[in-house]
Amino acid sequence: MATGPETLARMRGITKVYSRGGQDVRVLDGLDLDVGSGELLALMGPSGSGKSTILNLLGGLDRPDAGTIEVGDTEITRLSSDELAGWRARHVGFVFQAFNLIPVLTALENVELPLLLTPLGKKQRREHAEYALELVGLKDRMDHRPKQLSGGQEQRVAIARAIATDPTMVLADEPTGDLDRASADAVLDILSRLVAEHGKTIAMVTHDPAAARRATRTLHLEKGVLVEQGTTSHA
Amino acid sequence: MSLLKLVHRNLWRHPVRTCLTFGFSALALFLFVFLTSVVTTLDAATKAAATNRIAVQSAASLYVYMPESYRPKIEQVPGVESTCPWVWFGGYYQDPSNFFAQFAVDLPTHLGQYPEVEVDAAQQKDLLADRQGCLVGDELAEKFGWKVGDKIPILSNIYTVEKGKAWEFTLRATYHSRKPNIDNKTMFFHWDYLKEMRKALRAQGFEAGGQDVGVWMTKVKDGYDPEAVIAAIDALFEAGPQRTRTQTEAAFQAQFASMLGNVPTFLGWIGGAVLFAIFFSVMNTAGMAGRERSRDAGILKALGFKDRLAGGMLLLESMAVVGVGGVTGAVLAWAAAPRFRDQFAQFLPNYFVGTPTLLLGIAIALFIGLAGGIFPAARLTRLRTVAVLRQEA
Repeated sequence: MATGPETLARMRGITKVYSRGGQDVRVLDGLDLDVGSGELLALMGPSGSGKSTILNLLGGLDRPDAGTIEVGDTEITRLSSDELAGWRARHVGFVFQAFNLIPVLTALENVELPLLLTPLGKKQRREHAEYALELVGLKDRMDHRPKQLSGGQEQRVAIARAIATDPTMVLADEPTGDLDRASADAVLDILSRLVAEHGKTIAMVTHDPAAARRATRTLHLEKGVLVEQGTTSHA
Repeated sequence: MSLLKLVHRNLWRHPVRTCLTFGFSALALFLFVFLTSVVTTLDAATKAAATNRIAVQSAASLYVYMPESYRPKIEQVPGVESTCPWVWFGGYYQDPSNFFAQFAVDLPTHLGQYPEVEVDAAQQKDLLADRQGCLVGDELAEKFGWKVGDKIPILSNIYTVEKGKAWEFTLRATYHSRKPNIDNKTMFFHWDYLKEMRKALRAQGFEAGGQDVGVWMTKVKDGYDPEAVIAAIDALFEAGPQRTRTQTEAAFQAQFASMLGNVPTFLGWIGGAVLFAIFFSVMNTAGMAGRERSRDAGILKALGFKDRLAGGMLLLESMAVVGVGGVTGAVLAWAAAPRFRDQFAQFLPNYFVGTPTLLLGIAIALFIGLAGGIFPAARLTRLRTVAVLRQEA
């Protein structure tokens, strides 16, 4: 269960059922998971095992069919759609495998986008966005559009966007999946640094053993069961 | 950085498509406002007609003239205050392209029958004193740069002595009509002068139509029922020599619109069809834009923007292109009205774009922008973030 000094997120009895080809597939069945504050958690497992589903549920992008999710003092499974959106804006930063930057905006504007949901003024928003880009080493590319950047650079912009609002946790869904080894290492360096130097909490889904080696804790999801470092945690 | 900037950037993702949609919307609303204004212009003359004026014409056709001897007979009908001959002169100034309407009328009677026509008192005195004097609408005088006192040569297609020889008139007064039943692009001159022309033509052996009259414009005394006067006049000439067809000024004006057959209805249908075409085109364009924005909508929702924001932004795009394009077209049609009035002076001398037509055009443009974008916007609002981001990944 939780390995850090303080538990940030608790998932209890989570069940998620998808309908595929007219048949119900129970991807998660009564799953329990704790995420500790300040940890870099790696979720591994075969495709379709429900890793990304856990991330989507933790980030309030999806809702469980049963069970509760608490992040900090908030039980997010009780929030309405609008409340959940507001909560996401304050507490979660997402990093996707396909980067998911807005193509018509520059790197700086993409990073500034989530800051529009904060009470910050125009000048402060720009300063925050520039700082986030500086942290990922891309301040000199802030006026470039996504198609003018390499894949690794795009993912670093996506990380800057995820941390720009200083969220409670960052959820990364296969952040190195579309990158070559060198770019992947650069991205993992940044994620490790965010945890080690800035105290961020990161939950990361990955197939990459190198990524898993950077994690403070690694969980394997197989057939709906979470296994921690060879030990079954809960199912 | 603001969300409006994102809307603006999205508009220019496909500049050709945006420009074509904008242009098509502008053209559609331009056509709608123009065609609607043609119909309202035709209606306006009828609506502005006086209830105490009636027009006596030949029962056979407007092109068959009546004898001058009808005048005292009409004037003796109970309820008739005055009657004035109107004869079409069919001329042009210098070049056939400078065509405009000229009528020989009994000017003192004519001015008494049309209180809505304003003429300077001093100019009117000079006009009535000069047999070759003419009264010209202020817009016509402005078009050709005529000033009071100018000699105006008019070549007539009907009253021609020799090819290229013009009849000369002196501009003695200009008028301005406050109502659209009389346009400000017509020339009126003395009936007596036309009679002299006809005499001169006959002396040279030309056919000049006797001293016949096209229309007797007749004013009804206060307190008399125009319908009763109409019936009495037509009954008077039932036995000929030329049977008459008398009608109110409104009905008389309306027959010019009806000469166009079903053209006004046809124009209305074209206007409606154009709007339908633009509506479906906008729906298609907004639908394409909506599908392209699916991933962006998913990203925005993941970042914490509310579900309806992405849809709202798409709606704004639709309103910006179609609404602004349409409003531009409607306003251009309004701004071009004076030019059209000059261009179609022969057919629609009073062409105008009324404020209600302009406002209707603007409202339709905004409605199409809204209605065209609302379904794709609703689809974006309902999109499941997880599903769209998984699809796009």
